[in-house]
Amino acid sequence: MPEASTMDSTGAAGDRGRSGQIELLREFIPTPERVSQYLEMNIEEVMVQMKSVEGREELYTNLLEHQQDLQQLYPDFRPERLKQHIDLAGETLAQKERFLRDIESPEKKGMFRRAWDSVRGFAKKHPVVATALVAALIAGGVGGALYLSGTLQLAQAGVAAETVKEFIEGTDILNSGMGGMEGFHSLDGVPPGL
Amino acid sequence: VLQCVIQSFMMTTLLLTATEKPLWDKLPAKLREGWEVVEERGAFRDSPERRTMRLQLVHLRDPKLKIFLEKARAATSVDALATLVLSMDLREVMDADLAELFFALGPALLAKVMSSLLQSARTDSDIEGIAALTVIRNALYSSTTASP
Repeated sequence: MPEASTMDSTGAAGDRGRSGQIELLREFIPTPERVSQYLEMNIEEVMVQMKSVEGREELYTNLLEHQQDLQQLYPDFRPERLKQHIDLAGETLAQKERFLRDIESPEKKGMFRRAWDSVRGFAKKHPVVATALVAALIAGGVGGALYLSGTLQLAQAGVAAETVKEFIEGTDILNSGMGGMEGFHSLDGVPPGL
Repeated sequence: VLQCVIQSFMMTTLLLTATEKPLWDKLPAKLREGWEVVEERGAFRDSPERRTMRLQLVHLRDPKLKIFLEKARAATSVDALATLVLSMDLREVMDADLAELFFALGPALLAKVMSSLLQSARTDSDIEGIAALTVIRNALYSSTTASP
């Protein structure tokens, strides 16, 4: 079980706020990386388990054994929501796998390569595309009033206003302080393609 | 659907939803000339929980994006953050990371972006860009409905 002071470097439970101090995430989000850290399991094994009903049940049972630790680290940890979150993580993970497999399939790979090229050029001319994507990128890493203000300023500039605002409001980022894109912290532990 | 997607990327077909079709019909006839519209039937009910989880599962590879995030975190003013966001150049982002970003955004919000673009399209290259986005969105929709 990682110590709270190490969570910042792993992105598992905390993140450095704008003041430089660690902001503790209030709710435990059972991503494959976090689950693998708490249960000291191989991340690929966690991913496999997350894809099956039985596997998720087992992860849930095992995580509940750490309930006290989790409640200490995550003040809003609610055991009754854990199963729902694990199911959602498994479902989202499967969706992402299907999406990446689809665009990398032999019959579509070339088509998507051209699609990405087209989007790059298109986004330069139409900031709405880049802004929406960049908002998705930084939403996980920049929380709080400054980001909201920045979003509002973008809105004044007429750039993807509603989309960006909806994206931000549609996550728990501003309310829970949840942040930290795990991918930036733990690329080494993530299998290629996920 | 695959055939439509392939046609779409041959720049002859647009996969538009029933909501988007009227926006398309409002465009000048000359701009619509040569394009075939096929209905996109994909649907996905997004939610705050789903968006949060997608964000949590993003894994980016490009160090430049990491630097970008660090700059965003270090921004001390609204102006600095807004300037940073608007200065982001997608031409430097690799394919795999673009795919991650689009997955994080999700098909529902991408549809909102596309509606906006359809209303402001003025040139053939605008339509070609929208066609590329319809291809990406179709793949996102498919990923939410296909069997595991």
